[in-house]
Amino acid sequence: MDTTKIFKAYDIRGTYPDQLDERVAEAVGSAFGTFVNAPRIVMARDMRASGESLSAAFAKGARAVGVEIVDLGLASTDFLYFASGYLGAPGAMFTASHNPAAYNGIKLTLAGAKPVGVESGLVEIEALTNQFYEVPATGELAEYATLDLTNEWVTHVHSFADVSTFRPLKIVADTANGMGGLVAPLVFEGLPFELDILYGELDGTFPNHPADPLNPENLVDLQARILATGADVGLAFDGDADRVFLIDELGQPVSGSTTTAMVAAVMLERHPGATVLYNLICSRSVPEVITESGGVPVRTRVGHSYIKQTMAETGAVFGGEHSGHYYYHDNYRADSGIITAFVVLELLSQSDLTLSQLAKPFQRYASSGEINTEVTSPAHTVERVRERLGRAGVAVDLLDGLTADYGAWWFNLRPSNTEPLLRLNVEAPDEESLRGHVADVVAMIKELS
Amino acid sequence: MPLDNFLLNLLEDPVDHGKLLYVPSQDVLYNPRLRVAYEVRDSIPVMLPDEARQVEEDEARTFEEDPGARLTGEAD
Repeated sequence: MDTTKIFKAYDIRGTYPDQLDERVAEAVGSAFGTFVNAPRIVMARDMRASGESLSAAFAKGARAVGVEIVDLGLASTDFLYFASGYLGAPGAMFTASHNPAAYNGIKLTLAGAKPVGVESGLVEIEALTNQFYEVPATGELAEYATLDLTNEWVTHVHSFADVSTFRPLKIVADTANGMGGLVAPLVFEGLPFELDILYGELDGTFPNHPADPLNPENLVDLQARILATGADVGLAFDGDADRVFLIDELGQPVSGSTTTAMVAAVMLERHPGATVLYNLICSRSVPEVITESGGVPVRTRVGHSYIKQTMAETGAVFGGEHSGHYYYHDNYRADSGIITAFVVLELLSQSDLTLSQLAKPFQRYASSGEINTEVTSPAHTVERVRERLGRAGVAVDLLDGLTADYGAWWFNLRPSNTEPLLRLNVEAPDEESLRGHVADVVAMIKELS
Repeated sequence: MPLDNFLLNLLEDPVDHGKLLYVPSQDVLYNPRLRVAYEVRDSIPVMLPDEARQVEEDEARTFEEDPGARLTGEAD
């Protein structure tokens, strides 16, 4: 078995059944159970058809090394994170997030929703998986039980907003046949909103469109529905519903940076002077808003294990990533899309403004979005760019890849962990200067690679 | 409504990860080590350190002496 194909930086992911099948899942169960050395693991799965047999095999593997399984059944990833925090147990979520139907995967957490990544156990778990794949565990099976924590989770989500201030907003949620179709009705039940769900049936074949809201093509139906029905806000969920993207009443997506800035302002009103994290490809408007709101901005590397670790070190109340992951101290430092939606819905409910009007003060710069360029040796190219900028006297930092700060504009260039790619983000004061800077930086990358 | 035994068995203190004393008559989960109480609202234990309250000695005694009280992780 070649585990190197399926063990990624933060999770396990592969095509079913050729890369990831029941035998691999059982080995991962024994490996994770051995690694965590805990009495029990809490487990859940998304709607992909292979989730049931893969999670059952994982459970068997964990139970065979003496670890009990508490099975939540169908759930979103942020629900599983909650359960891991609430029960103080390690967690395993069967999902391939926004990936196509052919994929499945496993996101693992330590007790208390603490992250597992290549630098925090995934390498050891991979080695153990290979051992158990060859020689499966045969111990007496520990207990297996199902548990419904829905009421606990819904109460928890509601605690992030003053639901008594909610007004009857019209919301369209495109759950893309993913887990949002299960969890959105649960958390919105009993609230004064008019909820219109698009593609709410759980179907891991994604018959309507891929569950990847970062791709603008997948937002078209939602945007049309918002405009046709005069809705106040649109919510675009990814497959496992841990990310939710906001669309305003004009059908325009609200970027991850703008959402981070809006939520940061709300959280700082509740927790004056607190620390708020943002990753280094967020818009410069994010640290500006944090400072203006009396908070302490702390810049982090890209990736959830860095944010969670920095949150633990700094005691930050909130952290946001441009990619649409929003982390809350009071959510066991884990990320949740639905909690973010609640915070913004409270803001919208308490204001006379529309979402596009509310977002405007936070949209200060023009951003390129992530531009991927294929190069043969990403690290080498970054090094050559660094040398050239150093000679030219440009301010450069190396927190994650390379960030060059020209004062009025900046760019970040990061090598991909897994592919021969460089990821470029550029931000400038306006669209016109942005276009010029993007062209210049891309030309420099091509020249130096 | 008292808490489900199965869930009760799984709950621990979110701060020190030790066992809690469940007092059904007063709807609390009490940590005698840190002397804090977590409320059970509408049958839902609110396991948030921020919402836990400090308990004075007198009240702590009422929890510890309550005939219906039992430790999490030990319910049948």
